[in-house]
Order: sequence, then structure tokens, then C-alpha cells
Amino acid sequence: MSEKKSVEVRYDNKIVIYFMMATMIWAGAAFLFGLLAALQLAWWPANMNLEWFTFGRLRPLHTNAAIFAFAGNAIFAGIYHSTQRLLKTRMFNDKLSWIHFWGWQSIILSAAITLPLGFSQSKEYAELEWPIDIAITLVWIIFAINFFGTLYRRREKHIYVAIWFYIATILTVALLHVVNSLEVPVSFLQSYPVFAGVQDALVQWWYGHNAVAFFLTTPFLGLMYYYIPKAVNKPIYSYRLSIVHFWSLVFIYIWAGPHHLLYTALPDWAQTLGMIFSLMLWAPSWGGMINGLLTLRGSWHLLRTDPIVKFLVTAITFYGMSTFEGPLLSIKSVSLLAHYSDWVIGHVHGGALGWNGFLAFGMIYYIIPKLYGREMYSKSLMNYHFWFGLSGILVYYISMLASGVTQGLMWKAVDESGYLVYPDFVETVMTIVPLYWIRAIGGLLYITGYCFGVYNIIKTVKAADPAPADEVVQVMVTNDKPDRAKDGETGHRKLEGMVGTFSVLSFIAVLVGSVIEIWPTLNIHKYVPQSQAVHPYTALEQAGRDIYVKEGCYVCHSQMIRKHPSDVLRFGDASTIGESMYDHPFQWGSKRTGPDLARVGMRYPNLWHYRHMDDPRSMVEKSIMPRYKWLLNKEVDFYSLRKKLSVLKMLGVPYSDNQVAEADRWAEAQAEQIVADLKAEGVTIKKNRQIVALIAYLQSLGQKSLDNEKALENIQLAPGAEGGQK
Amino acid sequence: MKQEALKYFADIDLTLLALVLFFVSFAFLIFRVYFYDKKEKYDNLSQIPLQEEGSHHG
Repeated sequence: MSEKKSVEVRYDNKIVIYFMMATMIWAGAAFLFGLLAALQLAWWPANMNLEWFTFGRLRPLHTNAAIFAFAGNAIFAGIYHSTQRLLKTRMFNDKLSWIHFWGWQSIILSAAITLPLGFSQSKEYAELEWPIDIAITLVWIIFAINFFGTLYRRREKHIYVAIWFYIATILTVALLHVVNSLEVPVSFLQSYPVFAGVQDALVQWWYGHNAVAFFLTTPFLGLMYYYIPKAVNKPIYSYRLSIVHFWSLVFIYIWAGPHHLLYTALPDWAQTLGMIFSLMLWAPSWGGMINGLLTLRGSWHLLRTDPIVKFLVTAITFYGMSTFEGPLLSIKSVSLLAHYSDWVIGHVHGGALGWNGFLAFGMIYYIIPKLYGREMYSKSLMNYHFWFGLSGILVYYISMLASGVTQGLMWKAVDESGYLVYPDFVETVMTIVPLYWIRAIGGLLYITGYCFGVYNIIKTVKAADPAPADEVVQVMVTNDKPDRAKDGETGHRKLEGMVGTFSVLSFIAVLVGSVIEIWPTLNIHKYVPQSQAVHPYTALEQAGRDIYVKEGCYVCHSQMIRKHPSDVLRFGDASTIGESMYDHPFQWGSKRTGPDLARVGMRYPNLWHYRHMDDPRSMVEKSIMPRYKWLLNKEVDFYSLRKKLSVLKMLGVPYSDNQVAEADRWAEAQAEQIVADLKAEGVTIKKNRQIVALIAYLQSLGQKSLDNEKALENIQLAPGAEGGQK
Repeated sequence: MKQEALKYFADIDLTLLALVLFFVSFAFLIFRVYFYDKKEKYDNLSQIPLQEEGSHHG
């Protein structure tokens, strides 16, 4: 017989407070970056002609701040607060807690410095360069040791459902981050990913989608399973449903990544697999939502009186809406309309602002009074926060849905003669600019609500006595060893007492989908037929490509013409696997604020590109693209191309030893041709300017096939090449 | 191109294996949780977040 005894436990509240404060501070930064980015789309002068704040660099800063700084700190605050209470023990090691906190803030600060400076891998939500990637791995390991150490020392035998979601988060995020960050450094702040083209695309969206799944969904579901019962003082509606919810979700979610690549050059079987598993996600997602909402049965009146419940319930409602819309957008025919458009942007913000944002705010409003021992300063301000925030999300979402559907339909419109009704891309952009203004108003409303929240929290904290670092509680525990299932227990209840086994099974669940989906694609480049093979980029083109990557051009321009008549009519033949086989990283993109560039090469003269980058309005009157004047003055380090090409050669790009050894001279030879061409048109510029390299890259897009004479001519410019310079 | 690439995928059966794995595991889970284990056990577990004892700050 196990005996119960009372034990004193000291919960570490200080770390929770610090993570909460970091959440609120970084939230402000993420929202303001988002608002500025929204204004830049509505009114291009908001780019301020400053390279550090152009949309291409600001947008990754906004997304990284929202996901890893705002949501990340909120997750950690909730995990550190709820885990101690659910396991009836203090966190494993205080020092690890603080290394985790300051390490994470340092990573965010590094991102805030390097992204505006243009140090980016241009892979969505994985833009940070290799030293920061390593730092993320180390900090995550420290977090994991601290968390699993706490589990080992727990005084509650059974690990509650919230903890399962935290376990899945920690294990899966580690896997995703490590695999997607496999890269070879070229310099202190530049690297090339080991994967290229279609492989890089699949690995990236396996990561990208599951960053949403395992960073923005599973940890927040864990928080939901803890804070909803606490807020309404009732147990979760169905614990059994939560078991089914958990296992279905972790198994299915990991497969859904390819729905970001529908109609692309990714093999159809992988696309269909991604779509089917996305549709299957409807069931567990809504099972979780229903479980959360029905916990309020008999307590719905709290929605009228308790702002915390308002935040939490609205968050779950947005979770339901987003997880309905996500699979909907994964249906191939719907994706054809929505992909590359603002509908997806609206979908993401419904989830981030509604689900993650409101759950984080509801959680913080719940925790602060508990830790400071007094009610929030003003209930009215909480209500203002709620209503301004909700209005903001709705204005934002509806405007982006309207924008996405409108532009998507315009892109697809074909008249009875088979011609595009709106062949001029910028015409479709002009139609939705008013909606960009409305979107910015939505963001402003959300930020206004956030300001009410900040003021309310400051007043609450100031009015209270300083929150003690520790909270001492008496808990009743059994004298059994916690990390062992009791005799006679069976099934899932037994499993819940076995942390190691539980964690291994969770990891296997996510590993199955990952391996089966990615493994076959890793071999695909071996089988690209000769007719689809391409020349690698010349040294100068690669230098230009690095500038394209650095400036974040992928946030507005795709390089993937989908296999559909509307895309082919507008941009040319559908893209093939072979065309991006040497692209480290791939640049297929996910949004078309500007046109696709996969076949822009040789479509315009060099002078057009020169003037367009200097002032886009001089070439396209209504363009909303920022100016890139600095490219006319900044230099390319030709000598560094030797190292870059040697790294790319190591990764499988077929450069000869001579091409690598003479990369700088090769680049100069091609640059001289472009400079001469520009001079003939009346523009004088030095050959080592960034604009020259970028022009070389842009002119090569879609022009690298083996039988392309110009491509061959550029390859032969390499010193020592047959027919080339001696 | 697509057909040529697909010709070389000998591993597509793996997806069927995963599907079978999932449905077998899912069916087993449903059976255990809803038909085998007793509801009362799970009801007790759902009370864990609500079992916080009185506390004082130190």
C-alpha cells in the first residue's frame, strides 16, 4: 500500500515572471514590425529607402519576432509555471532555467541585429545563420535537460495531458531544427544548406509547417489543457478524448508539410500525401477544440463576466477556425486559388493573433494575479484589450481573405480566346492595395488592445508588493517512486507513469512520417534526366544569387511556375525539378506580391534591370517594390567566390577545380560583359558593383538548360575553360 | 519528367505501411481508451490540475 504524506515544495516563480515580461516586450516589437511591414505594402515609401528596413528584410524580422520571441517566451512562461504545479516539484535546476532564459533572449537579440543587416538563409522561419542555429540547438538542449530532469524528479506519478504536449514539442522541435539547419559555413555569417532544390523545398516545408504544428500548436494545446480547467475550475471535458487527440495529432501533423508545395515540381505522390494527411488533421484538431470548449459546459456565463475566459475561449475558437481553414487550403483546387496570395497571410494571422496571441494574453492575465497576490488593476482595461484585439483580428483577416480571393481570381481569369484577362501583374496588385490599408488598420487595432494590456499589467505590478521569487506549497504525495508504473495499472494510464517509454513512442510517431516522406525525395536528383539537367550558376551568377538571398527577395517573388494553365500563360513553361537542382537554398517562395521570376532571364535587357533596381517606378509605373539604390554602390568580394564555389562543389554542384580556383577571374570576365553592355546604353558602372552580379543572376533564371547557347558561353568565360579566356 | 522520376521510387509502399501502422495504432488506442479502461480512472487523472494545495509565498 502506498502512503500519502505532505511535502513542502518551493515553486520558482521568478523565472515565470521573467518569461512573461519578455513575452510582453517582444510582442510589442513583433507587432510594430508587422505594422510597418503592412504599411510598406500599402505605401512603398514606408521602406524609407533604407536597406535595413526594406520589406525583404523586415518581414523575416517580423515573423521571427512573432514566432520565436513572442510566442516562444509565452510558451516557456506557461511551461515553467504549469509544469512545476502539475508535477508538484520545482524545476530541475535553477541555473539551467536562467541559462535558458538569457540564452533565448540573446538569440532573439542576435536575430534582431543580423536579419536587418541581411544575414539570412532565406528559408522561411529558418532564416537565421549558422552560429545562431547552433546557439538555438544548445539552448534547446538545456531546456530539454531542465524539463526532463523535472519530470524525473516529479512527485506526481501521472503525467497530465498538458505535459505530453510539452514532451512532443521539445522532441520534435529539436528534430525539425537540426535537420532543416544542416548547412556548411562559407564565412562567419553565411552558409549554404546541404539540401538543394526539391529536397531543400521538402525539408524546409516539413520544417516550416511543423514549426506551426510543434511550436505554435502543440505547446499551446498543452497550455490550453492546463489553463482552461484552471480558469473555469472544472476538469477537462474528456480526458479520454485528449488521449486520442494527442496521439492522432502528433502522428498526422508531421506529414502535412507538402501541402505548401502543391502543383510545384515536387513529385505528385508527395503532394497528394501532404494533402490527404492535412485533411485527416480536421478530426484531431476539432476533437481538441471541442474538448476545450465543452470544458465550459455549465459555465458559459463566465464569458460575460470573466475577461480571462473570454480570451481563452476566443483563442480556442480561432484554433478551430484555423484548423478548419488549413486543411481546406490544402485541397489542391483551393490551393490553386489561394497559394501565393494574401488568403494564406490572413490564415496565418488568424492563428497567430487569435489562437496564440489570445491564449498567451489569457494565460498571462491568469498568472499575474496568482503570482502577485492581487487582482488585475482594471477589469475594464482587460475588456478593452479583448475587444480591440478581436476587432483587429477580424478586420485583418477579412481584408486579407478578400484580397487573396480577389487577386487569386484575377491571376486565373482567362478569356474565351484563351488569353489572360489581367496579363499585367501590377494591375492585380493595384486592385488590392486598398485592402492593404485596411489590413494595417486591423494591425493598429490589435496593437491598441495590446497597449491597454501593457498599461494594465504595469499598474497591477506597481500596485502590488514585489512578487516573491519562490512560492511555498504543501503537496500530498505518495511514497512510490514516481517514474514507475504501479502494479496492476494497465493501458494508457500505465503508460502515463512511464516518461521514458512515453517520450520514445511520441518521437517514433513523428519520425515515421518524417522518414517515409523525406527519404525517397533525397534520392530524386540522381534521376533527373539529361533533358532536364542544367548548368550550374557561373561565379558571378552565384554572387548575384547570394545578394538575392540576402535581400529576402523570396518574400515577394516565387521561382516556381506551377503546373497549371494560368501560371504557364503568365510566366512560361512549368518549372521542373532539374531547374533548381543546384539551388542552395531553393528559392521557390510562398507569396507573390510581385511576379514569379523563374523565367525572367533574358526577358528584359540589362539596362531594364539596372533601372528597375534603382527605381522600380521608372520601369513599372505602379510598382510597390522598394528601391535598391545601394546595390549600385556596394561591392562584391570576387575573391570570396573561390570559397563559396568550393563549398558548393563539396555539396555536389559540378564545378571543375579550375572554375573554383579561378572563380574571381571568372566572375570578373562575365561582369565586364555586362558593364560593357550597360555602357553602350549610356550607364557607366564598375564591374564589382552588386547590381552587376544581381543582373547576371536574374538574366540566368530559366536560361540554364544544357542546350542554351548563352549559358554555355558564360560557362566558357571561366579562365582555362575550353574556348574560354586564357 | 514526373513519370521518369517516379519510375525510380521503389519506396512508395512505405506510405501504405505508414497508413496501416497508423490505423492499427489508432484502432488499438480507441479500443483501450474507450472500451477497455475504466472511465473513472481517467476522470481522476483529469482532476490533476485542480488539486493544488494551499500556498504561501516565501
